[in-house]
Amino acid sequence: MYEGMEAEVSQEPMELDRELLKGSINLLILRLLSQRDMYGYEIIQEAKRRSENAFQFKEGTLYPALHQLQQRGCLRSQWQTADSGRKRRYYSLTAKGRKLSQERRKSWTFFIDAVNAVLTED
Amino acid sequence: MSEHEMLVEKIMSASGIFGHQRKHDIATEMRCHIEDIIDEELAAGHDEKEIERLVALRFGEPEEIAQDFATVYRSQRIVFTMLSYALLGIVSVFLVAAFVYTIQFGAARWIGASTAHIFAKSHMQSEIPLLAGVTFGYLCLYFSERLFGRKRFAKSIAFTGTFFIFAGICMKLLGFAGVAPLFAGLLYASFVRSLEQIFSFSVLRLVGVLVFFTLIGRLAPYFAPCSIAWFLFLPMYLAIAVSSQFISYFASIFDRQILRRHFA
Repeated sequence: MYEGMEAEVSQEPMELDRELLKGSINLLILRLLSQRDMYGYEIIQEAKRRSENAFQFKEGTLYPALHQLQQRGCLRSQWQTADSGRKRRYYSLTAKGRKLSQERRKSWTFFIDAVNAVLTED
Repeated sequence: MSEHEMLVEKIMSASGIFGHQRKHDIATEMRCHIEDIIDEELAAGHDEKEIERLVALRFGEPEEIAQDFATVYRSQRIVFTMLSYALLGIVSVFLVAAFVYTIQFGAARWIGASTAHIFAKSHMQSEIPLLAGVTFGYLCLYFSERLFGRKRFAKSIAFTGTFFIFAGICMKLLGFAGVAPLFAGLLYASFVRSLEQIFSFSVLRLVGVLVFFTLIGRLAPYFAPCSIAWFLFLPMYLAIAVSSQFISYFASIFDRQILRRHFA
């Protein structure tokens, strides 16, 4: 899993552990792209919107993560030109990426449930 | 160049991404992202100076992004670099051998001697490793210098020497002849490279190389155990002298057109 992604967490509404986010970047990318094809800036915006600004990535660090997933055959990309004339590189999941996305989601849910179970013991 | 363009350039120059098209695509992708940030911040009512600061803040440290890219493409870069060097070495040895053999063949025909010596197995067993030694030795010295920061030439000789010792041991173990000519080739290559270090003026270098190889060509018949007729040694070594200059030219072209363009 890509470990180098730098994520900064806003102070609002709650401070999240930076380390906690580190290992979850690929999962976020895979899950967002499982909804629809997106380009880099759009992925960032969507992550911010869905997390209500909890995730505020250093946006440039998204690209090495995207390219690593593409190198591993989980993503494919395609250039398109927007109405504004700006070029967009849209990423989409491959079958391998889709499978990985499901696996990661399952293991994440398992992990969260396990952590919650321990926490509720308190 | 704008601040934003400099940010992209900084990332690309340290990213180690290889391939002209790939570099261009990634730079375009990040440039478009930055333009989107600028549009967003403009719409939010920020002025130009504030936007510059926000772009740098939002996009992240260029060194860090470049480092992440370098990690992503490291294994591919290593494989393609090795393949490029191997291809350069093989093509260079082939061209040098073709040139040297053509000169020897022409010289033999010109003086009316038999050409059988030139293509005799015993002669080829010593000459091919010699040419390979000169060619690979030169290329290894030329390119390994950039692995080191200080005392580069001395370290490149040590590095190349170690590489040749390893190759020599492998040849011995596999039962190949021609270990001594291989090392002789490295010695010649080291001399040519030393001249290049000493003389920046190319005519002096060329004269030095020609004098050196003429001397070797005159002395070699007294020491070489192979069956080649003595009168072919001089043309052979002069052809090697000229070839060494070709190799130098190939290396600089390869450096400019392949390495700096695709790997830098």
